[in-house]
Amino acid sequence: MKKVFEVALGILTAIGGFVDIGDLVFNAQVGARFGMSLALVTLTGVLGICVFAEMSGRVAACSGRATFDLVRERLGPRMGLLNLLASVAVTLLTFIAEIGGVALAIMLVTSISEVLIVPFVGLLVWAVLWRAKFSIMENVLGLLGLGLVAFTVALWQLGPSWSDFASQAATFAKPAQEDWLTYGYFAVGLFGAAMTPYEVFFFSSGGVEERWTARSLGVMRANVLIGFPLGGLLSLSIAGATAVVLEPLSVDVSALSQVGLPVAVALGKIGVAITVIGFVAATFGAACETGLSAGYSIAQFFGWQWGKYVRPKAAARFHLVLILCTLLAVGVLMTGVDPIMVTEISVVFSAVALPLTYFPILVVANDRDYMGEHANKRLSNALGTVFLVLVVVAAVAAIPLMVITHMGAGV
Amino acid sequence: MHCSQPALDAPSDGVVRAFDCMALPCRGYSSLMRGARDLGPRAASLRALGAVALLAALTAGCTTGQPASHSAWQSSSHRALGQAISGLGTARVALQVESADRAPHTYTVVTATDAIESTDKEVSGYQVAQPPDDLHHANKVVGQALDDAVSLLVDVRVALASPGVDAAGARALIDRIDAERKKLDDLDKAVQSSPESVQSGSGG
Repeated sequence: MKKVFEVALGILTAIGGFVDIGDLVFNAQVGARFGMSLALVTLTGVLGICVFAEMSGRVAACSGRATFDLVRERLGPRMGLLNLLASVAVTLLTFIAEIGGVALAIMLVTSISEVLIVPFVGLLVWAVLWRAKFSIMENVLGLLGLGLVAFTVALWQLGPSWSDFASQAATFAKPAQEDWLTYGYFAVGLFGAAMTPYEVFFFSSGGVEERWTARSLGVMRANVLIGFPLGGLLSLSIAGATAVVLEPLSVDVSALSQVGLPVAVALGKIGVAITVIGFVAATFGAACETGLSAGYSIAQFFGWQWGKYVRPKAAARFHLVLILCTLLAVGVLMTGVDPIMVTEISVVFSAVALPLTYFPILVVANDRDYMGEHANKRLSNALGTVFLVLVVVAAVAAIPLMVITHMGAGV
Repeated sequence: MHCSQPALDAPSDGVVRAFDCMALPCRGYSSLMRGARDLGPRAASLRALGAVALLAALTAGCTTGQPASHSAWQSSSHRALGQAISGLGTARVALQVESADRAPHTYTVVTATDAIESTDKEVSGYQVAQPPDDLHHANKVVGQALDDAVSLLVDVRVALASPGVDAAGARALIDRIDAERKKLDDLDKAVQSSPESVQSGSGG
């Protein structure tokens, strides 16, 4: 019974924790402008993150060590440093975006300017990273993040033409007024949002924090292979709901308030209240995950003591990194920069950094010295290689597409 | 594989060796650099000249007040008009949910404020750009239409925020929004097809 509960809880938190500010913004933008014509890109991204999260979780469970620890040892300090710089830069950008996202979500119900909310959010994030137990942080925020299921219910309530949706998805039916380059930009953005690098760092380091062993592989795989795809369904629901309500009005989503409008139309005030709780939990949870991921990456690379399973005093440098990251994020957001713009940039640069993140994981997961009998088999390697090709294509295309399309505004 | 030096602090295996060439200078790289240095002062002058030309081109492209090309003006007009149509669409949904009491009052007010900010940002950027010489009139017409759209968005926000809208008030504002959206849409089509013929009010 305890095992079943553990698996169910893991799956629910994986669903609730899957969506972050990048998914919220990009899926709503895509739904409002392209309908469901990019749904297969989301599904591909979800499959990709499942492949690499399973690999990195397996590495953590079998070696008892997290990704960066092994990347540095296996590929040498130079390659490790390149990997570290790219990953930390993108993770920090995402961290800034998530803290901004929490502030925007709170603003929806308080109407206080997000710039005034940001310092309190930063303080709260730091307090959780400093004091809260890892399992409580993950489970509470993951479960509250399930509030975003309101989008799935809203979509059902709105009663779209499912055959139209299926046809748009299957034929990549680009709306006539949009150009292919902008379509490509959003495809890369969706892919980057689904495969954000911090997710695998957090997942593998979290596995070490929770002391996974080879016996934990079943639970880990259930979390990844059931929880993540169901989380991906939330992403598709957001796109579907905005496609029904906002696409006919030619609305271009550029604010979090617009993302929740379809739920208001379909479910009314209670739906909006649940959605806002979901927004806050999803972005706050992702802020904690990205903050920890930045700390994990740096501490693991330099070989410092890290993690929440030791007292802060024993991992002083790790906690110092968390404090500095939080101060940096709050400082950047206090300049008045638009958090949605930071989100869009972070998602695009995530796409750029993807190969540097996922290639080393593929190498380490093939090393029998670390993995023993749990090293990658043919299927994992085939899928890993296919997705590596896709992430390289996305990485090469991301910045040119961002420039040419004026960040998706059009050529 | 030109390199034979092992990577620092790393096990000597295939993967690390594959990255040695990226990390350490190897023979091919050195000879290439030596070759570049041997080109002499003439090559150096050419490089300097190239750099100056590039800088001049970039500076010219970024000069404030230079008239935009027709296609650039059409693109930026399309983006600004699209943003205004989007802002009005957002305000329309906000009015609908507010009048039907389907969202918290604060939420709809924030939504309307966000719509004003997004639209105003795009409109401000559009209005400081210099239009092509023969499209001053068209630019003025588009600018006026964008101003009208922002004014209507402000009216919506004012009505939503205080004292709030009833069904009749919301209906009146929604009718104004629909008329304004149609005007902007027609104007956008005219701007894309024949910008020289753009007239105020008719959109074409």
